[in-house]
Amino acid sequence: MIAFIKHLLCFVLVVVLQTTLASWISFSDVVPDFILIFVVVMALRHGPVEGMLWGFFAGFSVDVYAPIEWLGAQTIAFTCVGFAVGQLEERFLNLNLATKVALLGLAFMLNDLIYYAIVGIIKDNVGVLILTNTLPGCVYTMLCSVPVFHLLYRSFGRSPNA
Amino acid sequence: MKFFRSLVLLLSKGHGLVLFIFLLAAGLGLRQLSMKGKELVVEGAVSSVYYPAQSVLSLTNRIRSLSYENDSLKKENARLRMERDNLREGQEELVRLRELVHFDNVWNYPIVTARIIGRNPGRFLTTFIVNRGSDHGIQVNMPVFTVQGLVGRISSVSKRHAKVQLLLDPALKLSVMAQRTRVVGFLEGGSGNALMAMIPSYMGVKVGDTLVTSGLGGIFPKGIVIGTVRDLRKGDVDVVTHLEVAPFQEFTRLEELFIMEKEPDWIVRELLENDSIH
Repeated sequence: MIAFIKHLLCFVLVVVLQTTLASWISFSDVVPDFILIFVVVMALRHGPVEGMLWGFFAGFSVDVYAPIEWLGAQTIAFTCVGFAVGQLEERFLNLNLATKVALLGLAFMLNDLIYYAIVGIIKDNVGVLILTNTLPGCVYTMLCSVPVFHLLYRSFGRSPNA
Repeated sequence: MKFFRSLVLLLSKGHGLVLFIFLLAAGLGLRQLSMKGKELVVEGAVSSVYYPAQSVLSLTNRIRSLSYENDSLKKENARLRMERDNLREGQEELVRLRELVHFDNVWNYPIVTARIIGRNPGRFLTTFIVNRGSDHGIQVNMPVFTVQGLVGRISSVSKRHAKVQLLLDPALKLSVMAQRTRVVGFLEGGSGNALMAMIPSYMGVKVGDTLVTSGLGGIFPKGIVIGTVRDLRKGDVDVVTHLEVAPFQEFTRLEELFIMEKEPDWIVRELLENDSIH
């Protein structure tokens, strides 16, 4: 229960960062996705069940503040990411920093592709969207995740009970 | 409790595959909801779960907007202060110019406004440089004054600048008159903020009397105020009293001057070349 409250507080902090810090450090309208970093971290450290549960919750939280006709799109995308990344749980695999960052990049791409598919953008100009939106955002998020992964490793090591 | 544990175990089976399918179905269910259903879900979530988080978010955003507002208010404050100072400066200038208009009516000579751009570098203030010269119609020996009274005379002129010899300069001697008793004497420079004058004794001049120009020298018109008698002292010769005069001007604080475009009277021009008394 205490762990859950800790994670919940972390999630609130991440949402606060996403709505404040992200826009402050935006670079040509490209913002890092701290919520996705949170979901990936949870999935890597605690496995697919927690990963997808937090993915569902995080995605739903994003959906609540998104246009109402897209409700559920981010929920599904984040749930899929949480489940997929959770398969590479740190308890069983020893991942170095570069691999984790690369994994986050893949998760970012996966998340956006699922989202585009669900909201129906795939029929139109998804290529342009990937080049102008997804790729820059992916790189920026990967860069921002480096200190997060580093600090987590320094603070908690590989323990899943962080 | 047992039911809950069984449920968790069931959902976690196959690396969470069951739970994944369940959550995916929930997500797709959200997608399939009607518009009204979606609105109900969002409204319920916002009002129950997200409201506290939202207040935290709005607080941080409010702090941020307050910071921006504070910055912009500081800039506006600085701009308004500058505008206020400019207005004050303009208002003071207006008061001075209004007084000048009245002064101009009395003397009936054209007046040129000049700004002090330099002063003599020595310890004793004797000279100003002003930003008006022969291009502006300024000539040597024109009287220089402010609304408080006489300052001196133009001692040399270049095209765009002129040098003003102040009353403080001992080299400038001019004929003065006690306003109350009408007795005439001489002003002969001064030091610091005091002028020295000589006036015939036994003519009833007292401390507090005002000295004005007598108009006898041919340069300064009659009646421009100079200062008040601060102290009286008997001279070596009994017929002369030395006066210490407090000028109406604070010479060190002057910024603008007025030059009266009055040429010296022709009768006294020849005398001026040989006589140092103006």
